[in-house]
Amino acid sequence: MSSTEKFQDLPLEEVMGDRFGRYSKYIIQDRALPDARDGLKPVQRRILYAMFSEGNTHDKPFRKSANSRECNW
Amino acid sequence: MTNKQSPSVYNDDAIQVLEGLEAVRKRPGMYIGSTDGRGLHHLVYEIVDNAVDEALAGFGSHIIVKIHKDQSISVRDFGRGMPTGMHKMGKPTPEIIFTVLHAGGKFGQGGYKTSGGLHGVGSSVVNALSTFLEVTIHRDGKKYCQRFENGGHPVTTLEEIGSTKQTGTLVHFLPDDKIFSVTKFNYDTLAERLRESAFLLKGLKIELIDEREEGKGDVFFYENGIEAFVAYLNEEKDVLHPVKYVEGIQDDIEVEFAFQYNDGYSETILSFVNNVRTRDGGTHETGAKAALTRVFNEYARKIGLLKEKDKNLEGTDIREGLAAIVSVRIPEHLLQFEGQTKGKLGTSEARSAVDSVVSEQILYVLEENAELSASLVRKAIRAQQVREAARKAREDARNGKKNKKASTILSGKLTPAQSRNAAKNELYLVEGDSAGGSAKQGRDRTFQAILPLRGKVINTEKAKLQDIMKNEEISTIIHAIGAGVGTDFSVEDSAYDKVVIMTDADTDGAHIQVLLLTFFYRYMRPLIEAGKVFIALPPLYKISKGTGKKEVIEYAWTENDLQKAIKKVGKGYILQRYKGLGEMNADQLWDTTMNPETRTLIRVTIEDGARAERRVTTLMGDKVEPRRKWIEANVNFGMEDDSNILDNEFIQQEEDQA
Repeated sequence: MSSTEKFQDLPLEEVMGDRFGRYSKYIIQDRALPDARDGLKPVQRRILYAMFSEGNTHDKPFRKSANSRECNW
Repeated sequence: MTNKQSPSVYNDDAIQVLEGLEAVRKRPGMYIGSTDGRGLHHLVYEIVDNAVDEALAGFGSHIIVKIHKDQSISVRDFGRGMPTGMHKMGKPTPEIIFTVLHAGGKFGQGGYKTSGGLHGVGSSVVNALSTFLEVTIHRDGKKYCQRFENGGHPVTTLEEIGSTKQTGTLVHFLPDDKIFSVTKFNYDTLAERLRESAFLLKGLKIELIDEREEGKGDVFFYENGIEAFVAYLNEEKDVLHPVKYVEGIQDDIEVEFAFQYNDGYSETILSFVNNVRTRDGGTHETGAKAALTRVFNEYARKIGLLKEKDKNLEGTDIREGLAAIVSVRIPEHLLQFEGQTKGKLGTSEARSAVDSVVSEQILYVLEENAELSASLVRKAIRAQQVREAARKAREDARNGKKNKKASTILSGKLTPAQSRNAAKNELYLVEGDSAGGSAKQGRDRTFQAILPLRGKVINTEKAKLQDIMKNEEISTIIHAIGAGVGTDFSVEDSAYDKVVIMTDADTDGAHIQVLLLTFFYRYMRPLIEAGKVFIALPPLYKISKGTGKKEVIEYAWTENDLQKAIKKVGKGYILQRYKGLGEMNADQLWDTTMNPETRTLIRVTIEDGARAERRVTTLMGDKVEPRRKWIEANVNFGMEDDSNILDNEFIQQEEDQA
């Protein structure tokens, strides 16, 4: 190919820093740690909320988890 | 140059001589490398290096560097202060220093014995590229001051402004925003470099103060010099022994050498000449390496770990896991560099001087620490065995039966390109089978190969070597690239010109990129050095309107792009935020991310070996504490969106032949 292609040059440590910063922020903030207020991790809170808004409470008969549709983020 | 005459008028008048500093402003690249962030910071180094040279000569052991609120910089040393008399050229000497190129005290007249400065252009270049520069000199009980503006035009002469008990020079300057594309100084970049200078001169105290932020500052002061430097390089690794340090003088060349082994597999050797980093090594580094190899082999034979018939250990075996620093001081009349930038030492005397000092003294060190030495030799022998085994495996794979076996390992996952042109082929490492599927459909099959990766890749920084080699994902990558691994890797054998990491634009995708980069850095470093490792950037948004033939589609990579695209598409647009590659159709993927004509690729480079090394060990190593510190210092927790990698201030646009 004779066409010229533009590349964005970035030093390894910057790429690693940026990417790792993003990942670690997400893991710490939105995945791995339970919130002190309710003791739930985000994913658990999402499930409970989805079940609640579908009316799937403790006094109802069981319902397959796959039917809880609202649990997308 | 500035002549706007038509090319036909090329007569005597067309030849222009740039006078003095004008030349610097016209072609700054020749003096400071570039006019981006790197060049900007280079100005500071020029002035700081002068201060360091003063300290090196034995005058003043304290330097203060300040970043002011207006992005100007001041550097204060406590040396002798510049000479303040009238120079024989009829102007005050400081004015000569700051306005005349190739005016300096380091051409061997006796002011300095050894120095990093060589050409006598540093101060004048900084002056030429500054909006203003003010020099204040404390000397002989008096205080003098002179100010230059707009590229080095003196607006005052050298004025006596009072008396003082101090000595030394203060240079305060503001880089010209007409010259530099970036004018904001990066604290960490400066800190890193100043720390380096402090390491190299025992007992030198360098203070960095950032006035843009309350209370931000550092003091760099190391009594042990390069010993502390080596310890710093290994700070986040598990080391095998305390730092060993040797020094000596031969043929007027002062040699310092410090080393320490860690339990890793990579080698880090940094070399310095007169406190200036020689990025590309040179004779002093060669000398140190040669000496190390010879002494280790001699010692290994002497204590019988290498038998008579055994092959000698190679340099790379011995240097596995080594962190070392070579620092030499060479007087001006012997000093020689290869090329314009002081990147590589050419002085041939340095090789023999370093060689003899290092070999003589390292032998003592080895003899004195018999137990340690024996374990280091055994480590090197293990490295040799691993290397031999890898070579054998590769040869076997190349010829004969095993070849078939290798290709069957591959066939399941790798979708090869049709042509076998190693100068053009591209290998896409794609996150997940589903995205791999659409990449397969969307690619240009003549030169693009696809290798889908399932889930997260193993962390090659933490895992044991055997586990890494057993890992299916890693071994497929190694086989696909086909150029070996580790010390055995050779870029020439690579079956691909570009290895492109293509992951979802989400957080887990970011993690996979980090893991893969760690692998490439640790085991295929030459591939990164050759600029063959890339990161693909899939678009974050799709903005569309209408359906069928009237459909208008725009893609956006950043928030700015998004606003522009929305304006372009107009009212009634539909916005889709891509969460993964899987949401894209094959043709969309081709248009946005894989087509060489339209895609955006980030090319991963290694500019500063020490910084790259440190960052990788901090982020991926098995020590938790430094990582925690890094995250606390660098991650902004909160609800706001993350910044885009394309906004990074270090990014460099470069044209390249594809």
